Amino acid sequence: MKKILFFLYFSIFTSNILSASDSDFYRSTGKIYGVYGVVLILVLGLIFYLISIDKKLKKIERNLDNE
Amino acid sequence: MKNDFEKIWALISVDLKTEYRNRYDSYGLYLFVMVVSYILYKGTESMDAFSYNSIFWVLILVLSTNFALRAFTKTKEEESYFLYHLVSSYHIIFAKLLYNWIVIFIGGVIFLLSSIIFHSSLESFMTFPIVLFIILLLVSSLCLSSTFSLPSALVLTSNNKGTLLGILSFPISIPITLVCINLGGELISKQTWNMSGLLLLLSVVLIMSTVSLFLFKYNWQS
Amino acid sequence: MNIKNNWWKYLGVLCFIYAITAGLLIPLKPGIAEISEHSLYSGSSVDLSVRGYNTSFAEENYSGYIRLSGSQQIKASGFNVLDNQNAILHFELPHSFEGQEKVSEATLVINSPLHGYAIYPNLRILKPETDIPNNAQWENILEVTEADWKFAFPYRNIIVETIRNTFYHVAIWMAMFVLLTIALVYSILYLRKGNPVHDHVASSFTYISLVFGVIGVATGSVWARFSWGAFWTNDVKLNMVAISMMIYLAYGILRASIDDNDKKAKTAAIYNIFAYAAMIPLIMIIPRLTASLHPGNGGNPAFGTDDMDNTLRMVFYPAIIGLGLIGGWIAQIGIRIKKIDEKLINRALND
Repeated sequence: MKKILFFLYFSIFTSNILSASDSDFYRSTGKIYGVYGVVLILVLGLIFYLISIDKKLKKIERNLDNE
Repeated sequence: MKNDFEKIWALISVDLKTEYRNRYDSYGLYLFVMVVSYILYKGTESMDAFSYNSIFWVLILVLSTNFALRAFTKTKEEESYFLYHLVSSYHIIFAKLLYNWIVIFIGGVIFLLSSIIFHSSLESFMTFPIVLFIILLLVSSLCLSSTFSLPSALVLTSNNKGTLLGILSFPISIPITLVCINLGGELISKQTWNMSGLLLLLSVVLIMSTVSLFLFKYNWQS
Repeated sequence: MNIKNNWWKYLGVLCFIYAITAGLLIPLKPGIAEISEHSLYSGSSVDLSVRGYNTSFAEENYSGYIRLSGSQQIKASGFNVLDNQNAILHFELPHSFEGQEKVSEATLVINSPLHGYAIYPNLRILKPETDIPNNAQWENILEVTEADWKFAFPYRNIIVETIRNTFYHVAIWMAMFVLLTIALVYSILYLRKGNPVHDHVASSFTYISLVFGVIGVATGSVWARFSWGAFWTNDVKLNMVAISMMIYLAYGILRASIDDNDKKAKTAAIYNIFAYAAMIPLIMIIPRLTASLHPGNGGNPAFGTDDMDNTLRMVFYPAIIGLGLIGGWIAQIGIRIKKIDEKLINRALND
């Protein structure tokens, strides 16, 4: 059920951009790469922080095993 | 209220008296200021007033960290235990703040006077409004003492005090120093005030000193 | 996971996915990308060649206007369409305009009944040395009929597509402020009650907002590269924000350098309140006093009606909620880890 909902959600937006004429404009000024960069940094930043939390958790797990 | 003032005054006077007793300690810092001004005189043939202005404020920043750290490390453990029962924490932080203000201001004035003596041949040093500059020094040293007092009390519990004080308080004091450099430069070039900059410094004083007053209580208990 | 207790996590993730997909995929409204001349002489007749962005000149009935800063305009007498993006507009400019100044600010407006209007500001109309009388007259602006509402972001010159960064860069700052305020509240609670759990909450929220702040600076630097031309500018807000990030980095160092747990918690709570108070003049007051490249500085309120419009808000607010909730989720994981850690240490001490 969830998968179908996600598929529907994505298809609505992608069809919107593809049918709303030339997606040429999207990249025509080259500025959209600035947005891609920003989103990439956002996601990578969150992932790096999650990795550091994971490391902390691993340390505690090791302590638990040693007991 | 009157009692409060008396207590604060007593604390400041005690601090000033111990300062006077170990005066060679603070003489060292004041001598350092004079040496810097002499080095600037001998080392640079012709320095314009603007770069001198920036060096002046950076030196004030260095001075204020040193004085702020000294203000709390001087008090011995038994003495502080004694004080804890006599006066409230508000009095202590207020007294320290005012004491820091006085010693930083004196350091600034010494640097100003010695640089005027050494550089009296330079014209730009003769024309700038010295009274306004001293008022600016008064406000900015109050600003710096209010930002440094609480962090210097915080670092007492940690292992390496000097480094940590730098880390804790420099981010806050960088913009203050920048504003001071701007205001001083404006005084030299236009000979007038920038009221909004001065108000900014005063608002920083207000925020920092109220926060310090309320938070010092919790630090003092331990 | 239990939906009843964890609904806010689902909500956060949904809002985040919505903000990323909608923010990246919704197209921009039509706009004017380029015009051939920026300074026009009053009294002359000019041919302006206009290059549109996302326009469809050939398919619709466009009309063009030049609008003065007052309430007067003149309609283009000719609109020669070359293709969907290129057209040549012919204007017969009147020989005078109101006021004593030699120069008047003007705006080029193109309007279509279907897609609405697009504007190009920064046009100047100059008075020539000698007046050339002609018959053209400025006309008063009539009410423009609003076009059908369409889900599209507004077109702005220079930033163009990067307007989408509002949902990521600006939203992460807003989320950071919310998280920092939560951390502040728990720091105050810790000082008043002395419950170690409050310290865990405060420190976890401060760390995640520090991460958000670093992301905010990095994303802002990328955006600056694409709209102002450099990764780092001398802008006040940028530098003040960098300094306030240093304040919170100092928080991490302070926590690491004190060994005793009780003392650490207390000192960190005091410093957290102090840092929040120090951040207010840095971010709120100083940038407002000096000129800045950021919108909403130099005396203006942030996000005036010119900066945000309803379609932007429809993605911007969910983005703030999504990032804030995800930040809260990550902070909650940190809190749980610290609780377990403390329990383990206590058990080891008791054994």
